[in-house]
Amino acid sequence: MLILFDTITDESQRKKVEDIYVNYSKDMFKVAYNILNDYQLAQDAVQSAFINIINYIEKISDYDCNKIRALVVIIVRNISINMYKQIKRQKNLFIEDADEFFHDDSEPFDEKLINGDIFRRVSEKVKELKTEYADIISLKYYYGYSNKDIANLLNITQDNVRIRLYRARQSLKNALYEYKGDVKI
Amino acid sequence: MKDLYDEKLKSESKIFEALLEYAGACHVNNIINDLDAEANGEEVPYPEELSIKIRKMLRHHKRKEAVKKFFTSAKKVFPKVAVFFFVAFIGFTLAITTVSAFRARVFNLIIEIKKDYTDIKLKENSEPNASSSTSMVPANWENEYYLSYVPHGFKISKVESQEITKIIQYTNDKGDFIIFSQSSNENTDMMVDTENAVTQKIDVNGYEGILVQKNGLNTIVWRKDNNLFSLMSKIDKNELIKAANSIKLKK
Repeated sequence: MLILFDTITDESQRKKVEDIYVNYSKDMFKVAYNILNDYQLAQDAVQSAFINIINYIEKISDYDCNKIRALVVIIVRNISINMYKQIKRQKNLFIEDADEFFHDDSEPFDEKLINGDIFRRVSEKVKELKTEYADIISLKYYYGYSNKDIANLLNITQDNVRIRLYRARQSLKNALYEYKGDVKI
Repeated sequence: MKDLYDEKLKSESKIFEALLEYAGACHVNNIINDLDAEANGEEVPYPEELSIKIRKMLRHHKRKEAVKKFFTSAKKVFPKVAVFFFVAFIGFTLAITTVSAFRARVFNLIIEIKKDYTDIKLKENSEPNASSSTSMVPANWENEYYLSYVPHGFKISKVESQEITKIIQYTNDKGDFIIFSQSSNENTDMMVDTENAVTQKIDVNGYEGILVQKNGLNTIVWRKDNNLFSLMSKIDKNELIKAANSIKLKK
């Protein structure tokens, strides 16, 4: 009986992977192609994303449709961006973003910023964030993945995850401070 | 005061993390809205080869998971199966060595029909038996079996008596013969040529025997008590069976 139960559990997860492929592979390919502008590279990005999705299917299978849809897009987008950067680096064409001026992260979050308006401001500012930063904030704080999981999903190192998270948090803080008109030096 | 300040910092940190979670939810919502909006826009042709590659990947994953699950389950079940077979083996061995009735059933007459010969093995058995009547008995025949019936015209023409095997040969005027042999050893084997022969199991006085017919020659082999018997002749098989059924012990 236990063997049969185990099989059923796996069967539902396998079906989930197939559902993801059937429902979202076109979205994924479109996102990858828009970044990479190359059919072959876009295919590679989608394949790579699927490998990571399969490895994390146990966690993913509990999500609702939209949550899965957004997640697979985040994964394939970031994989595509990484591939794009690698190609450009190889061609010596990629210029790293200049470091932004960040407030010290250890300083307290200004409580004056917290009022009834905060949610609207966050909602608006998140659109202005760099896509990579918004993606990693979603993976960490909305989907609840660990740094290790994020690294595996996006094919990057854990150090990269830490750096991006730091920059993402600072970027959002910065945006909220700018909105408020306060700049701390 | 410092404790209060630290507590306040922790709470502010929690609030910020909650805002980050909210930011993440907003971003996910934006992704969905953008995808829905783009759905009406320009279509990027989806390559068929990608479909093939991903389906292959999914099949491979399915097989891999099935194998992994099989070994995981086998690991759980194997010790129990091993224990079961071990206990069964010990029980069988104990029964064989200690219970004679069980042993007798297991060590009964074994008849193997092989490709080009029939090997009849006589193994352990024990049963007393006795009956007597006199007809066609060789001289000095004591505690040995004889045929109380032979077809009309047959007489004893030859008797051989070895340590374990006794043979009586009957012949008639036409030169036909009947050879009756008996062996009184529990480990006696008899080889009968059954290649291209017709074989059938028969009953001889309640004991299982085998009739082999080849090139006109009929051979009956059977066991009774500790003895192995055989009859060989070209006479009619029914007559031969009748002779087999007529054996008696001369005391």
